[in-house]
Amino acid sequence: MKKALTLRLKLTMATVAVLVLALAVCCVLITGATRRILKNVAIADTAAEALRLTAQFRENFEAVGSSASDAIARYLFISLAVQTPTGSSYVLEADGQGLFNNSGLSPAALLDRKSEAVTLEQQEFRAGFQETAGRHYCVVGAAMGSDRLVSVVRDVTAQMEQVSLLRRRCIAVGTAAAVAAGGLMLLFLTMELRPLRDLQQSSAAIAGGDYGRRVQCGRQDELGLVAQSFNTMAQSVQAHIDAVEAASREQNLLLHALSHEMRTPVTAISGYAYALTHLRMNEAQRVDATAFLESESRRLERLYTKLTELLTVTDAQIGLTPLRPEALQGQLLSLLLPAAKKQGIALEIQLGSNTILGDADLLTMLVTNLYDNARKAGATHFRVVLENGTLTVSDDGCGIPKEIQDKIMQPFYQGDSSRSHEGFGLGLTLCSRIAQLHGSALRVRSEAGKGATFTTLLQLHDDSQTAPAVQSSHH
Amino acid sequence: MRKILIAEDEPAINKMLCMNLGLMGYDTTAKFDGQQVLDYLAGGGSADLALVDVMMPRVDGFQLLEPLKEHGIPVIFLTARGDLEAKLRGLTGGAEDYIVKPFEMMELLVRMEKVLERRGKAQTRFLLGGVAIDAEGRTVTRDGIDLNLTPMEFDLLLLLVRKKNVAMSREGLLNEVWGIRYEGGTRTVDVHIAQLRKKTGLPIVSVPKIGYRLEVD
Repeated sequence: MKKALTLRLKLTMATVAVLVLALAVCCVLITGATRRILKNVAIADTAAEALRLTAQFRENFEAVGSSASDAIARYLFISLAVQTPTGSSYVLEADGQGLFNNSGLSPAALLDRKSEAVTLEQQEFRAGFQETAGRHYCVVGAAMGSDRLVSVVRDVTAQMEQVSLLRRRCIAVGTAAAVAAGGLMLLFLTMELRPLRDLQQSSAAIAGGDYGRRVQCGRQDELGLVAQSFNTMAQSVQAHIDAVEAASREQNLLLHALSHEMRTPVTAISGYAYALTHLRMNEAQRVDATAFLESESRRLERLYTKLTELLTVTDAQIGLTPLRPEALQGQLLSLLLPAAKKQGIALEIQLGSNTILGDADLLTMLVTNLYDNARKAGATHFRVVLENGTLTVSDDGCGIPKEIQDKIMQPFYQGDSSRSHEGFGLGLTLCSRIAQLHGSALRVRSEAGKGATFTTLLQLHDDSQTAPAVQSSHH
Repeated sequence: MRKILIAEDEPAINKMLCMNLGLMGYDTTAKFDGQQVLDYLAGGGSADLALVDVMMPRVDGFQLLEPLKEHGIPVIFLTARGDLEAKLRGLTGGAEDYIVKPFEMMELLVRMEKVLERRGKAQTRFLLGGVAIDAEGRTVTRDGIDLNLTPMEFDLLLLLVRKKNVAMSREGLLNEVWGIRYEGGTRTVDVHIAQLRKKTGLPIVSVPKIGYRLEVD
């Protein structure tokens, strides 16, 4: 959240800064131009007055005679200046000496220093501006003869104040515009960057273990794309975590069941060992205890063997190879027939003629485990049929009650009635895993008292593909 | 003889307990599920102590607690490791103790004796051949004649008698009789055993690599 806020503020501040800079430049240019125009107007007006004044002054002065004294010049000048009702002030100087000055300024010094030349009706003037005590004056001076200088001083404060008024307005309008633009930018960015905040909150939630969390963003822009790929990532993370958790749960169950299974033989063995080492026993008791020790050790050994088998098929990544039914049939018969004869179970194996894809050893393990279960269930008939890729193994034993059928594939699960202390409840787990390795599942159809039928689907091998290959190898 | 009721559905453990406890001089009754225990109680059966497996088919260990209490039979549960819930339930439900499988026979024996002692079922008078022992009066007679045993000799004899037919290690005897802080070596035990053999004439047998065992029938 803090990250989004910073980015938002940065962008807003950058926008406002650019805007303020642009407005400031505009303001400076506009006020500069305006000041120039107003000054030019003031100079033109003042110069026009100066032209009129100098023309009249010269006219009157020539009428008196050009050698007239300063006193006369002063008198003439005052009478002219007083006649004109323009509000301007006038200055008359001779040889740097002020003969008349009603302006309160010393225009000569100003005009020397910072003045410009203005030509009006072939007559030269010097024009300049002066600011004194907050008032602005425009001064235009003209030389009269060789040593006299006439200046007109005009108060242009009102005009100059127009410029500062303009500047103030520019600043006010610019500030308002910048503030408004900043506000709008902030609002806009807040709305536009909302998915970013959602992303941040969602990734924090996912990091905290809420793997089901997703970002809601229906937009088509870059942020929308980021949100989409974020969701894809979250989904695959969730899938992985689920898989890992399921595997770990399964492993835990297996370990739990394993420790349960080991408890009995270990307790019994340690008890008999204690009796043999610590207790006074007669020969018959000693023989009994030794026999129990041996049978319980065997039990542990069988458990170990079954677990090893299970681990083998759990870790296996088998390659499915074409398997002729005759080969599998031979392997099954050689293993099952002697046992079935001894145990009085009728054995029927029909595997057809279709080549399947599978592993002979694993499929044999599957069938022999089901055979063991059938024998424990008191079956008199055991049947293995392979037809159109469906392997069906059925018996006529005591069957499996419906209510426990979904549990029988779990490791170490043993039906209550079959608790014969002979097996460990790993056989069907093994069979189910073997079916999985063949890309299928082990399905059971059974009812209490009516036998059990297990089916799994095997992949058929396409004979037409290998037939030519076999032929060509013959030639 | 003190009678122990064993309720355990695993035959291997049940038979092992019967054999061991029988050899240690207890009378045992084996039951393989809860229903058998209920039937036994209903038929007027009794016991001084019951060892009950928690997980049993049909009627489980917890369901046996009330009926056994009604008959005044203390219960020690045999439970699975780490089954904390079961432990709590067992103890708060009125079981005297519990022991986690797999367990050592010696540990079970100690716990059983503690429960029996609490219930006043500990044996105080023993008669072995011509030797009579009164644990409360701390007297020993041989063929009616008082034997003059030192306190340590008496404690050692009582321990061997209580664990008759069970081999005890020298260190175990030293700890039980002289206490864990005793600094003398296990030679002390050998000397006292020799004295006891001479005074009582009881068959206290040396068990190689373990220690001593009082063997009586």
